[in-house]
Amino acid sequence: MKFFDKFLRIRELGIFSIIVFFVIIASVIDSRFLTIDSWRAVLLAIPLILVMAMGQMMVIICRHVDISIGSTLAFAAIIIGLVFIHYPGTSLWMALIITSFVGLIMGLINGFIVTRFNVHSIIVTLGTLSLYRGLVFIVSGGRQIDRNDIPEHIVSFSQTSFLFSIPAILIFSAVIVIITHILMRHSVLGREIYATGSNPVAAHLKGTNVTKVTLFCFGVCGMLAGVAGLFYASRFGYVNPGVTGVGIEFIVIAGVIIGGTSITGGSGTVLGTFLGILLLGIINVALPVLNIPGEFQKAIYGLIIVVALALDQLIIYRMKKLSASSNV
Amino acid sequence: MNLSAKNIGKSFSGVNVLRKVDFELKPGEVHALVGENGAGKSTFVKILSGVYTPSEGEIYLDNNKVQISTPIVAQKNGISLIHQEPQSFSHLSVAENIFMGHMDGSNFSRVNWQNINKSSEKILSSIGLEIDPKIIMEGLSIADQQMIEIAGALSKNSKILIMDEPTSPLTPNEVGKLFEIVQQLKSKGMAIIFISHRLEEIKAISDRVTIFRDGDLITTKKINEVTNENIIKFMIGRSIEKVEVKENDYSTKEQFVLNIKNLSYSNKFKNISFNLKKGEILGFAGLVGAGRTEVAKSIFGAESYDYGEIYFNGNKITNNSPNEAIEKGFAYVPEDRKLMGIFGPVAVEDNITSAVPKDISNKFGLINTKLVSSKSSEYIKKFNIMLTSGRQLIEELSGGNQQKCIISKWLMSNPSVLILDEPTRGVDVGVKSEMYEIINQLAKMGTAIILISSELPEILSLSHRIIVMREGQITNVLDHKDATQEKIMKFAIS
Repeated sequence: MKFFDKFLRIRELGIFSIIVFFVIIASVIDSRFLTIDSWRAVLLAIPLILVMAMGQMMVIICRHVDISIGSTLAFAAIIIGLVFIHYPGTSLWMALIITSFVGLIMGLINGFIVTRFNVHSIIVTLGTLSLYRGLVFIVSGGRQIDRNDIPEHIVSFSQTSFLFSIPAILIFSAVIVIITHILMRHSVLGREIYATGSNPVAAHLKGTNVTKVTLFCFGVCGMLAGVAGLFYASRFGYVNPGVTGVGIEFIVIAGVIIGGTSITGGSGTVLGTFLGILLLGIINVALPVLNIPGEFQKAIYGLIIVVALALDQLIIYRMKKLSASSNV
Repeated sequence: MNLSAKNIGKSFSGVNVLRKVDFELKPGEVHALVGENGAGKSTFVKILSGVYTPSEGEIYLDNNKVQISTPIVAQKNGISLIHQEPQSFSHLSVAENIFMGHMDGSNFSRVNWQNINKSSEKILSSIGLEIDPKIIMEGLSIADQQMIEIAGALSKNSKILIMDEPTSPLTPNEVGKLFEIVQQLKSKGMAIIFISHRLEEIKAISDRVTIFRDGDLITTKKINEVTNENIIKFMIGRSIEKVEVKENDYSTKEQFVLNIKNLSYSNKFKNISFNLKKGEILGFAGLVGAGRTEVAKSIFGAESYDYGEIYFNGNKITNNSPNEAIEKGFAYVPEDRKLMGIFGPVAVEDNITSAVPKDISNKFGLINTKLVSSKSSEYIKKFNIMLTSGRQLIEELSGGNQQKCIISKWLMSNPSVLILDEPTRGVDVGVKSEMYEIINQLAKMGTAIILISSELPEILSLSHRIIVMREGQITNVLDHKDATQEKIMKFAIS
């Protein structure tokens, strides 16, 4: 009983059970879903989203939201595309440094406006969503970066491997996820991010520099969106000013929220966010396998979000009842 | 640690809220601060704890001059403020709540969980609290959260603890527990500043008491050298000459407009019963937080209540929403003008007529602007509201004129019961006396008025009867003939 209680208290239980439920249903309907190939498809679909979700999660935990990440991704991707055109020999590491730096600056601009002028982050990043997208068109002159502009060693980043035939892009994003977990769970700064989101006034009174913490979260969020820009160029082999990264913020924010991060700040885990993104990735791959037409995808995404959130609230309620009874 | 404050003054945009305060705090003493709302005691402790910076004066710790510019500087100097409502992180663990802001190491260093959990356990058990430091804060009682905040102060090796009304959210049992801890800290040499409105508690726990009134420090006394009556007298100060209450014929009326029987609402108020006659002005006195506004809101349907009955003109009624109450003939002028009373960027005329949409619209339900102008101009003249035109935005008017507009708005619906919540807060003396005139006239015309006010002279010079509330309960009902400030204060604080 004790074990069962403890198990029920795990915050990520709701999302985990939905994943298991979904996988079982999908494999019963069509056993093709359980093949290595479809799981490979799932795992290849998520790194880009997952990396962005790590930054977005941090921003949401400290009570903000960044909806400009799609444009940040596109801008970093266009910049690195132009670099590739002029310097095809640019190494992967150099490309990573460039894209993270570009993203970092854009994230910091968001954070600066939010903290300095005290404007709500939804408004600020709604503005920069359009502003950064505009910059993408200006810088690129509206032209697409094509497959033959992107060097072979960049494209192979998302296909070949140096370890057990796991694509390098997966290992790389796994490293980012683990670093984020350690930062959020075990570092002083990470705990201050939670404190800031939980109660900004108290955090300020206890000596946390709320402005710095907020800037850090927006900076990391932008930086990881920039890194995702490189992932995009590598995986899809093109960068189109009008297509790249459009609407991606919806999937990222949905994944973070489905993973149990509270939109009002203060709570959320890397594991939960990972499961949230994993669920969306599974649905993405499962729909064609299950012969569900593509038009349904958006509606099903939306439905899953609503169901997941309702279930999550139910679990929170259950947890509260448990902790209330154990406190007596 | 010895703290002494010399000549401390504080003004906000030219208004002095604290003047020339000289104050001393010795190690191992519990020093109580008392005073009415707005007397300056909260401002003073906010200066000591770095929330405000003083406009003048110096603070010395063990004879060294210090500048306490932020709460962090205060904490580094060993001064911690325990807030009335605990400031906790409900999503984080108890240990994190204790050590947030002063964990070892820099930003990117690893939190030493073992260390902070162990230290937390040690501090918590030193104040007799058996709580697992690893559990999440959410769901703990206010009393526990308060103890954890005290534990946080202890973890920073604070030498001076400032407690701002720590007992008000606690049950008597919890207060007893808190006092044990205060005694224990005191015996270890901690200096404690204790703010409370409950004189019994002050008598029980403190060594000295300092009384504030209207921004001045009146006196500091040893607790065994003063009586409760003395303290109250110091709090009120010189007795202000009593203004005559305007009698009208309300007392000859037989029937009550309003009977309230045993109204209770969770922890906000309990067993409230009173009657109100036509033309009567019933004053509600008490400290902020005594539950007066909550009672008014429940009667008006803006809040609910658990049990009790409301009789209106002899019939039992329930107001489920303000809308229902207005239709029956209730009106409520709220305490916070900006938040609840006016539509700021909207014309004066539209504000005044906003509670009676049916009177200003045609048969299709569209608003007739001519009706708006004519109806509102009647009141603008009657109450002498100063404006350039009826289309002027209400937010451009002075506070007093805004308040007149709000009252006009409610009079348009011809209420039989008018509830005024702090009607003269923030208005100047001239407008104040005009308002008193209006209130008296309304009563004379037969409106039953409930007047909630924290200004004793105002209550005394307007009300026919005065109900005193404390901590959600009625402690006394006084007739205006034998009401004095001393009597009211005695029942407003315990």
